[in-house]
Amino acid sequence: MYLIAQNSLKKIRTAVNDFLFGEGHFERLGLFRFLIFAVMFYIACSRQLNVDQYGPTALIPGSQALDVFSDFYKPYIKLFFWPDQLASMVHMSYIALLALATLGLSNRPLMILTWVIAQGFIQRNFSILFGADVIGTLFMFYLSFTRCNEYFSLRRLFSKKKVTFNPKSWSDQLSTMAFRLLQIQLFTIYAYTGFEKLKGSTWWDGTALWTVLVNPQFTSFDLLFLKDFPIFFAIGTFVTIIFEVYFWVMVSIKTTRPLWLMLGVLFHLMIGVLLGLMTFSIVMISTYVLFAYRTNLIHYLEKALPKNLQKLISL
Amino acid sequence: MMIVMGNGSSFLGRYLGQYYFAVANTVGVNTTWNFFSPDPAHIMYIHYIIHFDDDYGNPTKESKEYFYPEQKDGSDFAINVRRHNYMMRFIAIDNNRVNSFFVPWVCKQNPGATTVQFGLVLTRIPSLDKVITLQGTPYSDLLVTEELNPNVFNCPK
Repeated sequence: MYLIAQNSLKKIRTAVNDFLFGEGHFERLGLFRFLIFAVMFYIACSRQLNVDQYGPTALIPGSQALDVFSDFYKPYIKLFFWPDQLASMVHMSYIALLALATLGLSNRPLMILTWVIAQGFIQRNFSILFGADVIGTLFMFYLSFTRCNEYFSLRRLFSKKKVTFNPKSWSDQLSTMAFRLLQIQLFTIYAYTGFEKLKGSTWWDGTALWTVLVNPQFTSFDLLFLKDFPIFFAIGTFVTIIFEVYFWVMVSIKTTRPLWLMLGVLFHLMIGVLLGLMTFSIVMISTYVLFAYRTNLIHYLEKALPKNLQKLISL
Repeated sequence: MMIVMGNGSSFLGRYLGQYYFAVANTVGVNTTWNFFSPDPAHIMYIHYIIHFDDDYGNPTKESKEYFYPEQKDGSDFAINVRRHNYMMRFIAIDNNRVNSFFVPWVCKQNPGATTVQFGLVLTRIPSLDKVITLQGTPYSDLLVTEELNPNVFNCPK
């Protein structure tokens, strides 16, 4: 009995070890880093037009920035360390840091600094945020602990050093653990997004999409004609909830993963086009790279990338 | 932490949260992941009138009427304009935020302003059932607009 228990424990320990520290995930992390930072770069460039809302003339003054949070959500550390007068300059530096990270020319300390500034801007004016700001910044946080600059980076094009994974080094352990945390975080976001919707009567009723798609503050298209196809709203509303609530289950199961990810791409592209939230959609779709099979990803990229860029993914 | 804090206000969230609130709140994990939920919002914008009065309440200047955002129905989808839509919603749903942030901001932009007459204009989107049942009625007639939380705020001295 004791031996069986010991064996089972050993098996569990090996499985957990394999799950957390089994491989480096460098290709997936590299591609994910490129996509996330590229979108965040675009978002930040466009946000430069709103930089007055982070400065001395902002609707929410710097001295009261944390007052918009209730005590329960209030950040313990104020991360906007710059005076309001320098907001524009800091924001420009942030854009430059994002550009470096997109090209893979950043490193862990620089990426943490990038995240601190990003989170600082979130804290400085919480009212002006898009979902993409919050989720993208959170993903940037996890990415700062990974070795995500090994592939899809300019550094790789010129480096002759072979990328190796050593499960015993703390750096690689931290990286693979952050990779798993990224996956779990995404599962959590989807699940709670679905649960939150279930609290609403229109989502439960199957008509929430109607309210969204005919609200001119949400969509730039005139979709009123869809009232003649009410079944579209009913099915769309329920599919949205089922997709979100069960995302973590269906993506964890290898056989249903491709279907769910494809559904996710369609779902987010629809949101992106119809609701003009393309940046949010790209942030979400880019996370699917984290669930791609390494061999499939390399095979696909070898086909997609021109010969002179193959080095971006070569081992 | 990340799993529990998605519903941080739950008993488990409050119970366990005490050990990692500091980290969760700073990192941004203590967030409710609600997009278009619990129910999608209806059309809304702020309608405000700025008054300029002397100490005896007599107008010193003609009042000014504004909307925030300027395109009331949000017809401008430029990414920088949309941020103002989001900001308006965040501010307008809480009278304290209106009083603490919106009013002082408006007053600062209009030197000499004494009071701000505030109202949240809400246009309710008719239910799908209603639109289907009343097929013959023009859609615009089914939209119900009302002004909520009408209030007059004094500009900070």
